[in-house]
Amino acid sequence: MRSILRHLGSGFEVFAPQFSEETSRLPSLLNMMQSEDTGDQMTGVSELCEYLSISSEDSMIMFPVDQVVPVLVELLTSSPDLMLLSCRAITLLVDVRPSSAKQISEQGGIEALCNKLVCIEYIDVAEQSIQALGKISGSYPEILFERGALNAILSFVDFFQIGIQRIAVSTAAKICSVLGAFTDEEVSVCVGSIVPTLEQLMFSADNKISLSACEALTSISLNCKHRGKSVESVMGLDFLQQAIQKVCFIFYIIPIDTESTMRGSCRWNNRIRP
Amino acid sequence: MKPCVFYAMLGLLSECATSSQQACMLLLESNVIQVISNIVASVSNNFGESIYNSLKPRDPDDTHTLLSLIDSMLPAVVTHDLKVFKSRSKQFLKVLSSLETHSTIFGSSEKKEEVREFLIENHPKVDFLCSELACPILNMEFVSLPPKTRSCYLSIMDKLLFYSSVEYLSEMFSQSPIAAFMIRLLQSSDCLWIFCCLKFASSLLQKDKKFKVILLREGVLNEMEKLSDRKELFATDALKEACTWLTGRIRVCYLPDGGVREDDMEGLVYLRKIKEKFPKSEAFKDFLDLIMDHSVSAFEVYRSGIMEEIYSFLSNSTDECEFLEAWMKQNKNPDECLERLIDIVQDLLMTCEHFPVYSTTTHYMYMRTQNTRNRNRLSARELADPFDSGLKALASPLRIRLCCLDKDIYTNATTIMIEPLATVSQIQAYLKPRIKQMLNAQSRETEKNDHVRITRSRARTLGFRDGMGKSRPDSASKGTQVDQKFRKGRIENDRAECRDDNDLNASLSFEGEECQELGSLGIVNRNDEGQKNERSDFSISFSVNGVVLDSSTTLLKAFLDGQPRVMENGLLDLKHIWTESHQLDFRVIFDVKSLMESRNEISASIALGEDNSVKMDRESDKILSQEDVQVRFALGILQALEKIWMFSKPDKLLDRPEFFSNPSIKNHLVNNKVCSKLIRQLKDPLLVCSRALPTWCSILPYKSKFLFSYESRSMYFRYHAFGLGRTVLAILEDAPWLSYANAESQDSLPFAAPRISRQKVRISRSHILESARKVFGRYANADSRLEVEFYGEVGSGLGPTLEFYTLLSREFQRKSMNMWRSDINSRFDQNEEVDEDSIASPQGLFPQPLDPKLSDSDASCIINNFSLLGHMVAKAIQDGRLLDIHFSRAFYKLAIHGESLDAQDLLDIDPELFKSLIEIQNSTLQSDGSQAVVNGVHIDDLCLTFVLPGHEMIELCPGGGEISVTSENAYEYVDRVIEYILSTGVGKQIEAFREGFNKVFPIHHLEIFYEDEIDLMVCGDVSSNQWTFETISSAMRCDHGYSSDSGPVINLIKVLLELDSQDKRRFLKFVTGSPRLPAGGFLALNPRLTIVRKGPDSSGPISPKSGEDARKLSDNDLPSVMTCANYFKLPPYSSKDILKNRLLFAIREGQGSFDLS
Repeated sequence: MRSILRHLGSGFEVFAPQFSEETSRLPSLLNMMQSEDTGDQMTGVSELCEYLSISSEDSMIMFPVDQVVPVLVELLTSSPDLMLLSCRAITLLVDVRPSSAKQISEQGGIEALCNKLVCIEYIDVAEQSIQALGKISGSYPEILFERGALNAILSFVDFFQIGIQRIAVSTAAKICSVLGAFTDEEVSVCVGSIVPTLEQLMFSADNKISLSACEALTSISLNCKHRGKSVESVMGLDFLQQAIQKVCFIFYIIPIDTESTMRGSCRWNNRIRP
Repeated sequence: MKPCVFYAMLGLLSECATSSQQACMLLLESNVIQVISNIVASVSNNFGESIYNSLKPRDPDDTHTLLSLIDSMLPAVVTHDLKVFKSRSKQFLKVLSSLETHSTIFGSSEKKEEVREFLIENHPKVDFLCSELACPILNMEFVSLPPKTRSCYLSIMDKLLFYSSVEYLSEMFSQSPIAAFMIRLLQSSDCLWIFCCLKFASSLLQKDKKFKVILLREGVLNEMEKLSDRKELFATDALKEACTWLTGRIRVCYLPDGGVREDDMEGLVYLRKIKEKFPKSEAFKDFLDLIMDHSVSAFEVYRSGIMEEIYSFLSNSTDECEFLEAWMKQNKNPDECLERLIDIVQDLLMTCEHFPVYSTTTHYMYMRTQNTRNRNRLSARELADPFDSGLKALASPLRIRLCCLDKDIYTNATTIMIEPLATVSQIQAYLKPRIKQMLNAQSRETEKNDHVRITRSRARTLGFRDGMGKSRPDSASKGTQVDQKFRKGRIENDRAECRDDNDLNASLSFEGEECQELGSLGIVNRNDEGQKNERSDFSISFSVNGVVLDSSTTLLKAFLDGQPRVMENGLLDLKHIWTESHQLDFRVIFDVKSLMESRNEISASIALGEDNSVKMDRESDKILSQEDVQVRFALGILQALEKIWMFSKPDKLLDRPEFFSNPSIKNHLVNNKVCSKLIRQLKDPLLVCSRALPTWCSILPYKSKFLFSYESRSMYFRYHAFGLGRTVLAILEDAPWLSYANAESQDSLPFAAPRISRQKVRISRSHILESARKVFGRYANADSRLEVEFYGEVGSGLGPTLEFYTLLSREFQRKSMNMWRSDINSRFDQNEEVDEDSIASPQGLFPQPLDPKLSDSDASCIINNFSLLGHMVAKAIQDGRLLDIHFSRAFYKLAIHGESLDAQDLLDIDPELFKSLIEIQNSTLQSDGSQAVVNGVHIDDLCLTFVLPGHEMIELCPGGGEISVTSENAYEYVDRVIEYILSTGVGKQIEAFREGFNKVFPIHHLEIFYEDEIDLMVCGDVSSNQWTFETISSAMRCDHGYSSDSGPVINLIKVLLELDSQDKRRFLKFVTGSPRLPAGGFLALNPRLTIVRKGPDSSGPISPKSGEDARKLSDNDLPSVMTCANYFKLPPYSSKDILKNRLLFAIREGQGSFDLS
C-alpha cells in the first residue's frame, strides 16, 4: 500500500512543476480521501470539489482521473455527507472533463448514482445524483441507457424541486434521443415503464419540463416507427387525445369575432400578399 | 404555454400520426385543423394583433414541424398511375426507395389498402381539412422554405390536389396562383420537382375533364410540352426516366388529341382581336372590359403578346389624363379593375422572369454533421438552412499567400490564415511592421553583409486567427550566418503542402528547413530603427489578378471577384474559396504621388450619387436584356400604373375626385415571387457578406421598388448600407434562433461577431448644437455607435442618447436658425408647450429659400447647419435612433431621391401659397389677354412685384422689385416663384445636407424607400392607433411583482389612454428618452417596455409598520424609470386617480435630466 502511494506520489511530482500549486495538492487530497478517517475523507473530497470547481479543461489535462474516480465511486456508498460530497465531485468532474464519464461507468459509478434515485434515502444526495447524471448525459447518453439510468432518473421525479425536475427530464430526453442504437428488447422493456411518467410530465405547468418530456416522447415515437411498431402499443390513445386538446386549447381562448374576421380574410377572394 | 412547447407537441403529434392511424383519426376529429390553418395563414400574412402571431413559427424547424403535421394528417396518395408505375419495372421501385428521404412524397406502399378504407370512412373530414388548409398553404411562398420543408410542402400539395373536390379545385385555380406555381415547378431544374408537378397534373386530369382546359389555358400543358425538349442534367437517371414515363402516360391517357391547341384558349382568341385594335384608346378599354368580365390567364396574355401594346400605350400617353379617360369609360369599379390589371401583369411577370438565384454550398455543412452525434437535433435547420452553415463558413479562415511584386524589397512569399471578413487594411497593418523590418534589415545587409529574414511570426495582436506567417530564407542567405537571436522553429507537416503552392518566386529556395521565430523584442527594436529610416514612410497597395483593391474591401469579396464563378444550376460553389490558397499581390509604394493616383483610381471606380444612377440604369438594361422581353413590358406597365396610382390620390384642394380609393393597391404591386427571391438571397449570409448577390438584387429594389415589400427592402438596406460589422449584426438579429440553438449545444457563436464599438461622449445640455457639431465632426465616419451622456447627470446609455437626438432635433427647429419655412397660419393649432422660438409646420419641414443678399458668414452658417443636420439624420438611421423632427415629403424627395420637384410638391410644402398661385395662373389662362381677375380683383391691383412672396429681399429676376406683375407676365411670375422655392433657393442647403449625410454612409442607399417609409425610419410611428388597451398591454411586459392583470398595471394603461397627446409625448420621453415611438409602435420598443413594482423606499424616514402605512407610503412615492432598459417602476398605487396624479407629476416635472442611476 505504502509503495503504491509513493508511486502515485512520485507520479504526481513528475508533472507537478508544470502546474500550479493546486495540482501539487492532488496526491495529498487523494491520500486523504483514501484514509480510514471520515474527517480526513470529508476534507479531502471537499477540497477536491473546490479544486474542480475552479479548474478548466486545460488545467485538467494531467488530472489523474483513473485514480480519482474509483475513490469517488467507492465513497458513494459511505456516510450521507460523504455521499453528497462525492456526488458533487463527480458532477464537477464530468462538467470539466466530460470524458471521465467513461471511467465512472466502468467503475460502476452510474449504477451507484442510480441506486440513490431508486431508493431515496437522502433527498439532497438524490438531487445531486440527478445533476451528475444530467452532466453525463451531455456527452454519453448511450452509457446512461446501458446502465439503466433512464428508469432510475424518472422513477421519483415528482419528489424533487422544480429545478432538479427539469434536469431529470432533459436528461431523460437526451437518453431517449439515442434509443436507436439499442436492440428492440432493451428498448421496449425500458420505454414501457417510463412513458406514463413522461406523459404526465408533458402536461406539467413548467414549460421546460413539458418541452423536454415532449422531446423525449417524440424520440420514443420516432423510434417506434423505425422499429415498425405502432405508437399505440407504447402511448395510450387517451394521452394523445389529451395532447390534442392541449394544443387546441389555444384555439378556445381566442375571442370569437377575431376568429371569424381572420377566417374571412383568408378566403380566396382577397389574395393575400405579404 | 410557450411557442417552443407548442411546436414540440405538434412534432410529437405529427410523429404519432405518421405511425398510427388511430392517432391520425383523433387528430382529424379534433380542432387542430383550425388552429393550424390559422397559424399557417399568419405566416404568409400579417393580421396585425392576433393570438396566432405569438405562435407564428420563428425558426425553420417550426415551419417544418407545422407542415409535417399537416402532411401526416392527410392520408397518403395512392393513384392508379402510381401503382402502374411501381409495377412496371424494378428500376422504378428503386427510384422510389432511393428517394426514401423524400418518402413523404411517395407515401408508404405497404399500408395503401388500409389507407384507402380509412380514407373512405373519413372522407368528410379530409375534405374539410383540404378546404381549410389549401388557401393558407398556397400562400406560403414555396421558394422561401428551406429545402427539407419544401419536399414536405410538395407532399401536402399532392395530397390536397388529390383529395379536394372538383368544385373546390376549380375555384382554387381561378383564384389562386396555383397554376403559376406548377409552371414554376416545371421550369425548375430539379427533377424531383418536375416529377411532383407531373404527378399533380396527372391526378388533376384524372379527376375531371375540365382541368384539361384549365391547365391548357394556364400554360401548364405548354410547359409540359417544352419539357421533352429540355435536355438537362437531371439528378438521377432513373428519376429522369420516371419523368419521361409520366409525361408519356399523361399524354396517352388524358390528352389523346395531342398537345396545345390555341383554339381551346378562349382568352387568347379575344386578346388577339383586341391586340389588332391598338393603339386606339378603345382597345385599352376593351382590354379592361375583358379582364373584368372574363377570366384571362397570364399565359394567354403572354402568348398573345398584348403586353407590348399596352406598354407602348401607357408610355405614349404622356398625360395621365388620357389613361384616366380610357379608364373612366370602363364604368366598372375602377379600384377592382386596377387591381385586376396589376394582378395579371404580376402573374405574367412571375411566369416569365428568370432572375437568377444563387445558392452557396460549403464543405462546412457536411463537416459539422459528421461530427455531431445527435443527428436528431440536426434537423432541417442545420442541413438546409444556408444561414447557419454560411455563418460558420464565414468563421473559418482563408489561406492567403502574400506576394510582393517588387522583388527587391520583400522577396518572401508568406502564407497567412485570416478570416474572410477581414479587410485589406488589416493585412496592411499586418505587413507594415514586417516590411519595415525587412527594409531595415536590407539597409544593414549592405553594411554588415548579414542576411536576416523573418520567418515566422504570430499575428495575434492583429486579431488574426491561427495567423501564421511563413517564409524561408532565400537561396543567397542559406548557409550564411543566421542571426543567433532567432530560435529554431519547427515546421508543421500540414503546412508543408502549402509550401509547394508557394513556389512562384523563383528566387526562393524550397529546401530551407529552418524556420525561425522572431522574438517580439526584435520587432520592437527594429521598428524603432525603421522609423529613423528615410524609406520607412511608405504604403502598400494590394491587388488580385491585377485589380487594385480598396483598403476597405473584404478579402472574401476580393477573391470572389477575382475568380470566375463556377455555376451549375445557380449553385455558387464557394468551396474552393476555403480549400485553395489565394494569391494576394502587393506593392510597396514609397512615392506619395503614385499612392494618391492609385487612390484616385479606386475612388473613381466607386461610383456614388449621380454616377451610381447612371451605372444602375446601364446595369438594369443589361439585366432586362437577358430576360424575356415580356419582363421589361411587365415592369414598365407596373411602373406606369404605380405612377398613375400615386398621382391620382384624392386632392381636396384641387377638387380632384377620389379616383382609386383602395389603399391596398400598393400591396398588389408587390410581386410575391420576386420579393421572396430577394429575401431568399438575403438569407444567405455568405452571399450577403461577400456582397456577391446576383446583380438584379442590387438593381431592382432601386429601380422598381414597388415590387418589393417594405420588409424586404429594409432588410436589404440594413445588410448593405453600413459596414460589414453591422451587416453581420443585423443578420444575427434577424435569426434569433441561432443564439438559442447555440445556447443549447453550448457552442459559442460560430465566429466572433464583430463588435461595433461604442463611442461615448459627454456633452452639456446648454450647448447642444455646438457639442453636436464637434461630436459629429470628429466621429461621423467612425464606424462606432454614438452614445451620449450629459454633464452633471448620472444617466447613461440608451435614454440619454435618445434624449440627445430629441434635443438636437428640437434645436434645428428653432426659428432663429433660419433654416425652414414656417407656416404662420397654423401656429396656433400647435400645442401650447411648443415654445415661441420653434418652427411650426404641420406639413413637415422644408428649407427656407436662401437670401442671396445674406452676408457670407450668415449664409455659410445656415449651410453648415444643414450639413450637420445631414450628419445627424444619417447617424440616427445608422444607429437606429429616433429623431423628433418631421420633414416634408418634398424635402425627402429632393434630398434623398434627388428628384426635381414640380408645382404639385408645393402643395405639400405650403398649401396656402399653392392655392393662390394656382388662382393667379388660372385667371391668366381664362382671361385671354384681357385683364386677369383673381378673387374679384384685377391682377394689377394686387400690387405684386417680382419678388418672392414673404421675402421682400429676394428678387426673382434682376431688378424684380421694380417689375410689377401684370396679366401678361403673371404666368412667368408663378413659374419663377415655384422654381425659386423648390430648387434655386434651396439647392445649396440640400447639397449641404447630402454632403453631411454622405459622410456617414452614402445617401443613395436610402433611394430604395418611399418618402413615407423614410419618415417612419427617421421619426418613428406617430400614428395614434398605437394607443389602445390591447396594443399596450400586449406589448408591455410585467415583472418583479406585477403581472399583466395586476390592478396598478391596468390602471396605468387606462390612465395612459386618457392622456392628451402632449402628455403622451411626455410619457414616452420620460420612459424612453424619445417622445416618439419607433416604427412598429410599442411592440418595436427594444428592449421591451417593462413595468416593475417599485417597493417602498427603504431609506425613507418611516418604515412601514402596517398595511395602511405601506399604502400611504407607496401613494406618496413617484414612479421612476430606467430609460436604457425601458423599465418603468410603478409604485403600487391604491387607486387610479392617485396614479394619474403622481404619473402626471412625474412626467411633467421629471423631464430634462437623468438624475437616478
